[in-house]
Amino acid sequence: MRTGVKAGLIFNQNVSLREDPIARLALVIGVHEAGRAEALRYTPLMSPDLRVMLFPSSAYRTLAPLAAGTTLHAALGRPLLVAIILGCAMAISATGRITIGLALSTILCWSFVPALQMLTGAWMLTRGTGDPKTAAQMDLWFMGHAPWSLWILVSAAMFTWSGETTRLEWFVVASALIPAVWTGIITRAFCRIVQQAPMRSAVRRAIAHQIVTVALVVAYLFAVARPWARILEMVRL
Amino acid sequence: MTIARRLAATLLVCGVVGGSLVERDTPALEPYREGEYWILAGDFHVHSFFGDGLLPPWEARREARRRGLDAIAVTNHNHQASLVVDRWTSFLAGSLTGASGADSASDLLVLPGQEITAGRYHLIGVGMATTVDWTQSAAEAIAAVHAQGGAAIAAHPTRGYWNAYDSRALSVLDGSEVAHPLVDGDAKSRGELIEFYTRLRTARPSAAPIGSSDFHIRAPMGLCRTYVFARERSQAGVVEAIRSGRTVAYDSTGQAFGDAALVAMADRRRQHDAVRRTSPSPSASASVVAVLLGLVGLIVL
Repeated sequence: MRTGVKAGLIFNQNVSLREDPIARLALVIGVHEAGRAEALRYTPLMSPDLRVMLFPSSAYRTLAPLAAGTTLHAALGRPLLVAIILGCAMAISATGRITIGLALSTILCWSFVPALQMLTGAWMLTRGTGDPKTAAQMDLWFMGHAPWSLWILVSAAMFTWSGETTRLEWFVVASALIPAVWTGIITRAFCRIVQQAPMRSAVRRAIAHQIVTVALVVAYLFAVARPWARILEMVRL
Repeated sequence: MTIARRLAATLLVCGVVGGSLVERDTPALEPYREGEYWILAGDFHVHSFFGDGLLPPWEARREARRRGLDAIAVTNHNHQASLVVDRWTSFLAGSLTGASGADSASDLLVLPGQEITAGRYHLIGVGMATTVDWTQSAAEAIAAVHAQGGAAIAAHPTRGYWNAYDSRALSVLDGSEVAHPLVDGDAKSRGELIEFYTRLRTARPSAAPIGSSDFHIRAPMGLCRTYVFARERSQAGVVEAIRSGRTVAYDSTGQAFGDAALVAMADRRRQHDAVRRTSPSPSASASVVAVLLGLVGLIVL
């Protein structure tokens, strides 16, 4: 560890730079000590979600003890926010508008997504041995949703303002790789710090989680889009 | 909750409420009639939730109305699950409001349909009660659609799909999508749709030109649309008009496809529509900005 360059709130918490890709990137691109310290001065303005997104390991290290008293009621707040984000984004993408009725309809329809994420989260929690209780762990788990949430909102904005005939669908689908990889990094940090898993085990769980997530997405697409014929088209059987 | 998060939440609520207030100003639509025909604006290729579309069927209805459409066909891939939901929600809405469904003058016609998604062709079946098996040939699928009293339309027939439409299929095919968002900005694909339509008209002179949005995620519903000249304002009237070839298709640039006399009538209907607002107003866009900023604020602040 290069203690000489670790300063400020995040870097003073004895976090290995190997665990925080963003911090490592900051070193690689040569961000100066003074600049980082200046940036960290604004950390209190960041939500826990943003801190988890930018500095997964160190943020979880800070937040895990604070989350110990989280109630189930409070832990449902973040899944609810994800449902609202998804519902509003779907409504805006499809219509370019938002109304109360439209938002409630799409939130209702698409709330199965955070429900499934809670299930995959619950599956992850059964694998862990960390101190915080289940509600706290679930809350910490959903703090890692920020990359997907921001990607969903940016996609909705692009669909809305890119012009009616601009073809963006494949670009948006391809760009989903960014939050997918980012979430894998956050999941690894969650397993490592919150669930106190050894590094190798944390990596395994993160990979398993991503595989389960992709499997669920594929299962959904098969259920609604019935792509067997298209697969046949591709392989020309 | 911090002050910043409260501000973000307020922005979100203001955006949604503001958007709802703006929408209340959307003018009501009246059906348009000229001579013996109802000239109905239709989009016969719409995907909804329970399929791979974003909007649930009841919101697809509202969106169709906002876009100035009189008829849509919900055509999910090889299933009709959303139609069951649509029937129930329509029934519930009718029960709650006292409206009598299709008898209401401003009501939208929702035709049950399916995008029969096979390996070598995609075929829109409109006005069918049950799903059609996608493993059969195009000619057999068209016959199955006809057996249910529906109309069969070739979906985005670019060159890769042409082999599926042999002479037997072309002789019974009711129409072809000649205007489709897929070909916007793609001269080659656009030429292929027109070439296929020309071939179809040679084999079957009464074949209908069709314009569809293939609405899944964002291409605005009705961006490409079909005007049908129906003798009665009903599902049967729309299907009869398509099967008789009394349609005009418009693409996203406003280019028309169809018989000149019908195009002239459709143009008058479009001029009539021009007073209607079908795209979001600046106020509606401002409410969308407020909602997006509010949600981003709730994530990052």
